Amino acid sequence: MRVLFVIPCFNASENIEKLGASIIGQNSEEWDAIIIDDMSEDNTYEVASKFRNDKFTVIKNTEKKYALRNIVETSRSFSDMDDIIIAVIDGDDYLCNRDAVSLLIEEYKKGHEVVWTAHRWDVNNLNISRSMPGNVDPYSWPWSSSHLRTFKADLLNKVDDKNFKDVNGNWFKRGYDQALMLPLLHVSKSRSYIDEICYVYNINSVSIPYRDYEEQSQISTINIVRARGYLG
Amino acid sequence: MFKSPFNEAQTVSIQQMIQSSEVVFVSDFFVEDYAGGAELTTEALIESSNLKVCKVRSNQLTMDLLSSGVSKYWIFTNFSGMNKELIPAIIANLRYSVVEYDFKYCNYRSPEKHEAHTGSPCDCHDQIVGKMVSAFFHGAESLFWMSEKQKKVYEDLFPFLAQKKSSVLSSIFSKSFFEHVTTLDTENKNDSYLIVGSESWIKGVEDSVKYCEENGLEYEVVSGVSHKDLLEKMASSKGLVFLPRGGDTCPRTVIEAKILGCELILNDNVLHRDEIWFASDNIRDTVDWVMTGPNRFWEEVNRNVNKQPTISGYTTTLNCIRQNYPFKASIESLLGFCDQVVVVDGGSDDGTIEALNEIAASDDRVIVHVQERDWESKRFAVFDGLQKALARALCTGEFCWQQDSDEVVHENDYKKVKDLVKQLPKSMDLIALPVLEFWGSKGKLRVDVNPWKWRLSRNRPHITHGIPAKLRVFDEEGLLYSKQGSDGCDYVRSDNYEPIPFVNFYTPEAHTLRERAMAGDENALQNYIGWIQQATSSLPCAIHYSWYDIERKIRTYKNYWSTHWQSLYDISQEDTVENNMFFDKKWSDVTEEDIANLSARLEDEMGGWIFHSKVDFSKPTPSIPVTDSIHPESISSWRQKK
Repeated sequence: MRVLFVIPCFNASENIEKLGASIIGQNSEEWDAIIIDDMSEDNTYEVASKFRNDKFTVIKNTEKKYALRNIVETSRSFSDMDDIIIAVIDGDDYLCNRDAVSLLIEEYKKGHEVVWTAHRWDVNNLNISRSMPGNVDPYSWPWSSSHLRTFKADLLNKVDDKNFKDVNGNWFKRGYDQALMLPLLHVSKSRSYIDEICYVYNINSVSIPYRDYEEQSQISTINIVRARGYLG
Repeated sequence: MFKSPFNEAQTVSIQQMIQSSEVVFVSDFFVEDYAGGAELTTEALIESSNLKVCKVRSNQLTMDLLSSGVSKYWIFTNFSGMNKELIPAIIANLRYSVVEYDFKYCNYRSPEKHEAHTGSPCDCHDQIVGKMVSAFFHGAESLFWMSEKQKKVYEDLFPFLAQKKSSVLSSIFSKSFFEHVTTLDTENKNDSYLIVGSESWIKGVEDSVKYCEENGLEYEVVSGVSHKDLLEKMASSKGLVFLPRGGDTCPRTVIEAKILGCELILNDNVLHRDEIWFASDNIRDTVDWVMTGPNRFWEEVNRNVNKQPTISGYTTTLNCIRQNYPFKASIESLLGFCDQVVVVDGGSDDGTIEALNEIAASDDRVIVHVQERDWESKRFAVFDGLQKALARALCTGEFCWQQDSDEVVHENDYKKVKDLVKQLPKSMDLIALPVLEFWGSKGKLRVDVNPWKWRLSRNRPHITHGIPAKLRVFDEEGLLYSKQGSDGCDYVRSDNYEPIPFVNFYTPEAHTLRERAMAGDENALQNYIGWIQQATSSLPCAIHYSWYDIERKIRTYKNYWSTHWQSLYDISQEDTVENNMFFDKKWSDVTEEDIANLSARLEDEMGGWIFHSKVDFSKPTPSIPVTDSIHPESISSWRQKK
């Protein structure tokens, strides 16, 4: 089994070196990575290109797709392989545990199809990931599978794209975390939470008290996804 | 503690003054107390108002006064004297603008003065004063600044303020000022430069004197003269020297001197110095800008005072035609006061969707979304709340009005809804409003049920519908259901399902009256009726036609509702005589004739019955008699059909 890091980026030039280094520094070599530059307005692509080698692919979009579509489309191109673990890292975050890859592979070897780990927010070390009872409907259960979120690439074969789109059939632009993970959790036969901090989530602290448009729009996606439930 | 009767009298008179106004100005001083630059600008604004304005001194402000003016529009200018503990209540409840004359985030109201006094740079923006003032500014509908540079100082220190609606007002002058200056002779100037005398450190008089002496300028320091005399001096002087030691946001004197043709010697601390309207060589540009200041202010304030917040109505449908729900009347009434109506249908197969699409085709405010559900599945009852949650998530208005497809709002209440959203304190996320429940078609309203329902809410993304956290249970298949106590449609937070706090007009006193009326107290019933009339005359209400056609209702109970509650509460009920609250026989043995007979009797003899227990005709419930005029026009064709 190998971990494939899928990294959608937008204007992430300041963080991308740290992120890349956190992947290269993994103790296990069983990984590959794809950085997708989603029409950044800064030099994200140039900075990311420094990492390009056999294990690191760097793609530049010619159409703005937003994180969810980038993740799903990239992951679907590996969904005919049964030994690929997709691990999503946002362009402005990074890994903080050199054993992340080994921990994931070890967990997947137990037969799970979705695995997530603990993380910490950069501002206050908060971790909102937690375990989820094995059989509950993830759409009715409080959000648990935050970063680092991973899934078997072939699990996507069971999920229709309509789960990732709004009521007008457009890909969700914001609030992709629940839109991506709830259908995958729903179709997974077995899921697991690793209580080890593997991921640092950078939060823009200004947006918390003032709930700007971005955040409102994220929650609105979440409300739609949760109200609709799984679309089979 | 005793309340001073004198203060109380004062409070009452200020309260009356606030209530008869549309806009309340709050300031430390007004021009009748002290004629400083800020006060003169404030007065010029008040003088040019087309709205009813009143003045409240900041040190007189109390929580009582704030609550009495919750529906007014407030303008805060200088507020040093205000009890700062009121700030959170103001942010949470009032609609207001701020006119910032200096730098109130700083304890010295000037970062330069701060540094000169303490020897270290101003750090007030990181202190409680800075946080409090910036939060106060952030809570405003709009901000008015004296100059671009002043605005920039704030936005550099508090970047979130850049998102606020704001405009540069500059100093404002009264009409009489312009009338007066046109009478002055500016043609015959002497060779002298004016320096306006002041004891204040920040005005930099010594620096101006020094400048004139070093540059060999003839000068005169003027102090203690009336404003009129000062203007005359300006008219006859060659120039004005003003070199303040700290940022002066938009000093009036230099604008006056400019208009009166003075040559100006100023430094960078005259913050408006380089703005186009002032830097222009053409005095007309300056005069035009200053004269239109009141328009810039009142245009924005009028917009806020008269702002009609947008309302999204939302409802859910499922086979309404087959079940004879008055969904068309319901939607028609929503269109009477909503800017958008969202209907989520659960996959009707009886023509409801086609009828909805027809309505949407004729009115582009209507959005129809079909979200099919497996209504045969074990936990289908939970979908009810999820359909509402989805409809709500599709709403884009500032307020949301939830209405079931058998509820209708009377035409007379449309305006009440629109007025209510204009006046609602900002901190109220959810309010319950009256609901009038029909019992049969013979003019009876129920007393046996609560007269309120969660209805109107702010469209905040954290609000959704569902089963509250403490009632959520998962069955062995991992599927959600509810403990008894929720209909699955409660207003809950989307992240943790905790209930949303709400405001209700239904008081414990009214509840006691209703209970006494239910127990047979005729006097209490009359008082309760009076209370209901009063509540519904001031608040918009929905009329619920669920039990209007009792026969239809019993039929849906037989076919749907009993299984609904079983699904929602995980109770398994066999079809036995004991489990049938309507008839002394099993549901499977109930005939159409049985239903017709029972509904006729219920309609005649009872004023309502909650079917948690077997109907008991020996305990007739009271009801409120009403005439046909209570029915909205929109429901008439549905009623006729019935």
